[in-house]
Amino acid sequence: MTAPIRLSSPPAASDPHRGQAAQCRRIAGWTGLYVSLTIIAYAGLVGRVVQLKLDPDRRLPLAVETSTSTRNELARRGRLLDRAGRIIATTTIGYRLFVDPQVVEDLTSVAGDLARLIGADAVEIDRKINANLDRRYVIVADQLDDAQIEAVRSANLRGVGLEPIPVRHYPNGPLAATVVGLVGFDHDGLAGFEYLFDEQLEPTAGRLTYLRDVRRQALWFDPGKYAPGRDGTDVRLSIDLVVQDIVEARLRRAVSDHHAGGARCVVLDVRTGEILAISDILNPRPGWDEQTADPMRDRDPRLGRNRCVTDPYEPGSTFKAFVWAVATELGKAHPDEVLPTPDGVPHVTSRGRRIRDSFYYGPSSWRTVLIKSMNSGMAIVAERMTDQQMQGVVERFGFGRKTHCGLPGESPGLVTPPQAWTHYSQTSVAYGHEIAVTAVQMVRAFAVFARDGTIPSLRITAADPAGDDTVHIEHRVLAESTVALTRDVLRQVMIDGSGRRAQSVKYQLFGKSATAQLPKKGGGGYHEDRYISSFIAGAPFTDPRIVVVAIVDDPDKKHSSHWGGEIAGPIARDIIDSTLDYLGVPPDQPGYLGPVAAP
Amino acid sequence: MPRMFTKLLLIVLAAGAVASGLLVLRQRKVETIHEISRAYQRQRQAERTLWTLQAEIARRTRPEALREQLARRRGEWRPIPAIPSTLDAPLRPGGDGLEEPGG
Repeated sequence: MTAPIRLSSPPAASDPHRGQAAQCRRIAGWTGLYVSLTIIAYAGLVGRVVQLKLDPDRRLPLAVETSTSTRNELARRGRLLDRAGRIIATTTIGYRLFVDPQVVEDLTSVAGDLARLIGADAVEIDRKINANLDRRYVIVADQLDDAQIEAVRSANLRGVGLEPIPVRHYPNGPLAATVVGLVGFDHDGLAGFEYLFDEQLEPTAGRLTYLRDVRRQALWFDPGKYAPGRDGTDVRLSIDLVVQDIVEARLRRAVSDHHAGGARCVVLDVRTGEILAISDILNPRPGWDEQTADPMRDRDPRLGRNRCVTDPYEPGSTFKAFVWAVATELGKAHPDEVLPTPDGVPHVTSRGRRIRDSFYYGPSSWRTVLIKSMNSGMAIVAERMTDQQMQGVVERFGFGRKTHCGLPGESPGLVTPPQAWTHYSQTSVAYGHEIAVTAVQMVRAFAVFARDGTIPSLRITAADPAGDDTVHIEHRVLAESTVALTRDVLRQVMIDGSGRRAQSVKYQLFGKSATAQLPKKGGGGYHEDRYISSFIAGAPFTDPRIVVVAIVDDPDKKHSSHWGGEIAGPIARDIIDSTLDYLGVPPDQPGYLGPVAAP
Repeated sequence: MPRMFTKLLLIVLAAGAVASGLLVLRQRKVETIHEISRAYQRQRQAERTLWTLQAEIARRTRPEALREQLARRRGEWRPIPAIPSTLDAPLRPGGDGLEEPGG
């Protein structure tokens, strides 16, 4: 039983229980006070947080923003690669030197300091800075080398900064310059492949927001405020740099040897429709009038137009092969039929038009007409064809419309429309006059003879051997038997015709030459003694791999011959030899024993 | 009351320990993020070096430069034909595709 509590009697001072109880009360009181204060403090804090979240002071965002920075993370523009994966264009990171005149401690000495560090002209730097004192970003040097970067970093000058910038490189220099193009100041494609594939090559810059310290160094960044950059996609082209180099070197030599106004060449892989090389050289000659000009190329070779796709030319006798094949397939003439081709005088058509030949052979077979490139024989058979059939030749082989190979500025060529087609057109087109084609149209059309009679789509991106899109066939142009027959006759052109000088000791070629007169600018007929010499050929004869068209613009007759078979033929042959050799295609010329040992 | 005090003390200590633990975790998170960012920066730097090296290799192995080198060496270089029968054949001693003139 417990003793009753005596509330009325005061506790004795010496009672230990009373002291203990008082102590407990004090502790309880202090604890209660502490807990209460803590709760109040926490409540205050929570309230403040809520208040800051819901209705912060207007000065607060300003204060927070000033301690955060946002910077772009550079991403790389995609590379342009050749079909073997060699780099044609790539991007590296360079550094640009800039000055913030409002932060620089001593404007009088900064120009001298920077000039000493990067080895530039102090006066020039001083002029730049003083002309832009009100700005906060003055570029002093666009691209520094490693030593300059290190020197600037070591100097640690206030108000002087290094900004990373993308720098586009073209490691192969001028090789394929007109087709590759270039990028502008903001790294966007301006011309050529750079422009064409700009969307794929374009990188997406990253973005990073971070909290910085008083020295503007990154202190902390929120992963949620970081978006990594995405590099642009590489583009693998159908161009092969080695073949391109072979072509350009040979064209340069030809232009020099023949003092020509220019030269063009396209190399096509007939199996896939890939353009392996495409080159266009201009050679301005002082004192010559009516020369082909390219003002943009004068400014920068990479800005120049690619005449293989933009400038049509008269194909001349190379066009006879197409008319010959279709006329034969239509049964308008049998290869062995002897035609009344003239012997020494021009042929006169049924409408009285006089057709001249370069050489006269008398009555000749339809086969010989193509081998000896006789305009008269072509005109005779052209008169057996209807206008629609002749227009069908143009249409079948894809002339008069773009190839859509993808290269910018492509011309569809020039073809007389059906409503303006005359007897004159009928006979002229038969031997390649009154029509203008581009070099890419020619190689694609000639590929029909190198394939099974089908015409491929051209492509400037590399075909994926494992993919389904290796080659896209547009349509069948000729029957296989017609192709075999025409190819055989074109082979004879190399043996008995105008291709004799272009005969290869390694590969059996089939081809056709042309020597077309140079048209006067602005109309008004042709120059009497100025020509466009061209040659188109495929090889190897038994299993064709490539077709090459070589065009020499306006060769100087004082330097050499002007005949297509003698000027352009050897160019096409040399390019075919080197390209097939490089591609590892075994020689098919009977009796070829390999390279001759040097003495 | 002492038991109450003990409980209170334990609660305060536990709260302190939890708070300390959270602070440690937060600090580790900061350090990890810092390390990630540094690793990322190193990776970007390595990538940039790689790009520069790729460009330099491409410049030095451009067809024109190779042609000059071949001309200097005087031999006749011939490509290895990319046909299976050749690829299956055993390589010649040295197997570098170089053939002497006349070979």
